[in-house]
Amino acid sequence: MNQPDELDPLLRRFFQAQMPSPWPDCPVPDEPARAVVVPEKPASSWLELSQRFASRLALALSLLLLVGAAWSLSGAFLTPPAPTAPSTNIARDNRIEIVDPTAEHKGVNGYKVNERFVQPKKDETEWKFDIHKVEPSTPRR
Amino acid sequence: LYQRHSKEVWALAYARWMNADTALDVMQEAFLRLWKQWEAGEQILNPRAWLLRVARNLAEDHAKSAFQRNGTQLPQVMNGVESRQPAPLERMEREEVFGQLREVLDELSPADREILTLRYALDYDTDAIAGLLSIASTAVHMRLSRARQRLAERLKAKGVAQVP
Repeated sequence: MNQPDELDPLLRRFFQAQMPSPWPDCPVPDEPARAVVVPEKPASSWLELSQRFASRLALALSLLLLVGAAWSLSGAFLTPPAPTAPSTNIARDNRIEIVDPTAEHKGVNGYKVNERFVQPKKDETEWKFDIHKVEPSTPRR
Repeated sequence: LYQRHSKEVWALAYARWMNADTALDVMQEAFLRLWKQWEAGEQILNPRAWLLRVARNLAEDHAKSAFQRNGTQLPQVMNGVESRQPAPLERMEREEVFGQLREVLDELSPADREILTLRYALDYDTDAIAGLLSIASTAVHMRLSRARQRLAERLKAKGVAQVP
């Protein structure tokens, strides 16, 4: 019994004799498990309903106010209107006349120049200039 | 959880003080604390490690309080195996051998006793002990071998004979 290997049976018998037999059951806390009591819901009264929806109503009103304010303020910062696109006219002689009203030049020495493009359906585009003499405006009384 | 780990918890507590009743108290207290933690909503990711740590701490606290009360270590208890009902003479001889063995085990370090308890009380192999104690299998093998060697030398010195 002096060799370490010979100790195995003795150690096994010793340690296993120390273990409780039968093995005890799982310990249970003294306090019983607390049951969660869910209170019954009373019937909803008008006051409760109004309280319940008060926050939602306040949120909706504030959103409405925000949108309204943004809408009204947007008018104060209007950008100038974009230049109108050239209009097209289909003339009786089967031509498309492109008139650009912005293409008006004041010219010099009291003359005004209007330029326009005329696109016949079959021919090449015509670039036309109309030159008018500008009458001096009479001062109002 | 209790069935899987309660014996491990008991074994660690037993290895600390070599007292089966104290180890049982410590094991049950550790599980009660675990239930309470869970009841309180505490999240314990590794219950096994938690239980073993708590059992070690409880065993230490128990030893300190026992020492303060008694001024000495816990009295040793001569335990027999009631279920096998050996003959009285046989039983006396075995209890004598067990008593000597207990004295020698008391002289070993707690770490040696832990490994021996896990090996022989729970029949854990080297890998299982290594997993439980979070050490390498080679370290377990070495510690187990040395603990048995020391035990054999001391038993020889005491003249302990083979258990009947």
